[in-house]
Amino acid sequence: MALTEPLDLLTGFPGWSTDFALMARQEQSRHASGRTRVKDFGQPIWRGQWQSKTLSSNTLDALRARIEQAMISQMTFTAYQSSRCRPIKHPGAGLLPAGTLNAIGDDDQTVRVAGLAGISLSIGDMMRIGSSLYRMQEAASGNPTGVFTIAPHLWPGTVTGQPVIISKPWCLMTIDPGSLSASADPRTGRGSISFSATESRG
Amino acid sequence: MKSYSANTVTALAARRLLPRDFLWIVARDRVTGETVNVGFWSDLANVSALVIDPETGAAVSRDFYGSGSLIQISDIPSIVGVSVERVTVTMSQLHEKVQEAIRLYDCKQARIEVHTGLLDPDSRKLVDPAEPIFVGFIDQIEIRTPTENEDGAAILTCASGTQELLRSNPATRSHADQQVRAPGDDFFRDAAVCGDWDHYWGAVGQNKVETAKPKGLFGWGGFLGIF
Repeated sequence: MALTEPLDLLTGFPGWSTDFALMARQEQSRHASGRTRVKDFGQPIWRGQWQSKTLSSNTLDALRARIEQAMISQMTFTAYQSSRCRPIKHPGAGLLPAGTLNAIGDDDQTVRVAGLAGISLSIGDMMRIGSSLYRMQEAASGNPTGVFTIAPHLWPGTVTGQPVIISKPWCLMTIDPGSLSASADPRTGRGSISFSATESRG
Repeated sequence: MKSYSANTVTALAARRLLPRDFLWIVARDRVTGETVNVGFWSDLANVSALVIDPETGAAVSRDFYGSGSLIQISDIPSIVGVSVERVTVTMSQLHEKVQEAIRLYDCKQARIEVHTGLLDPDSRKLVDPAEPIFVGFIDQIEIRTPTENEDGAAILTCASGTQELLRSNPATRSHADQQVRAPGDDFFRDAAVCGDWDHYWGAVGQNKVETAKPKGLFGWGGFLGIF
């Protein structure tokens, strides 16, 4: 298999994303009055942490090779939240439809999605719109859905008509340098792998 | 005193502040000599934003590149009086647009503008067109290529536009300079030599006024017929 971007590291990864959250760039200042003022320096980006279960030494070596290569080469991989490969209300393995972005609100964080007939989305579902990943803040259903809020704000360049993916919604990430830990137990040779990654844009 | 619009005043007093800096460089194409504009802003993604043109005071839409290319702008002092202030802009030397601006194009003495704007916390749109807070020229460009495990940067040292006021006038009172100002104007044709000219009343040679020259010691004349 030739190594091409984006790498596919997570298919068959025997583990879980223990953390998948937005990384804000902010500073706070608390006044004597108790008022906390926040300075926000940029749009938040996604950051994730993955942890495998205990693996046999053979599997550990195979996984270590792939993830180490991705970390050293800083090639991007498709990252998704392991627990949110599908909408909360639609578990199982059935095929999920793909939608399109129907409308964008004035505040750039409310949207309406078309083409998701029969799907009901709930708070906490993940969604890929255009080339970015968002998390739902309001429940929605219907075709087109009602207006609902997402986080973070839509990235510049997002326009109506772009595809909306709710099945394994992903974003591109690169593994944080030095974050890979794949040490084996000295007695059994078994071990687990963990690494963290940050969204890589542009 | 600087006055702000109601929108900006409200945004500044709000609990959540989203300040963004916008940098605008007018560089020169090394081949054609034409000016080339490039903009950077202090957030991710490429955007078009309204900024106030410091020359006209009108809002203009300009394109700005993001992705962490603008790392830091040093403090920009607001002072009373006329003095040249220096501002240091630190950028990522790896960003391809920064590379293009400072290596491909000529940034020496290029015009540089720094605007600052506030975003609305809810819609993340500029509450007002970004205000200019610094207009000047790039004095020095330092591209710091780091050694292993060190930080690199492209550092632009800029001098404020006030330095234009301290520039001396290089024009001289001469025919050559007048031709630059107004081609064909011969008023200063003899300006360089006419100071040495003698002027006579009447015909040349007649009624010539001889300048009395002092004679003898201290101009007293032949004192006692000795000196």
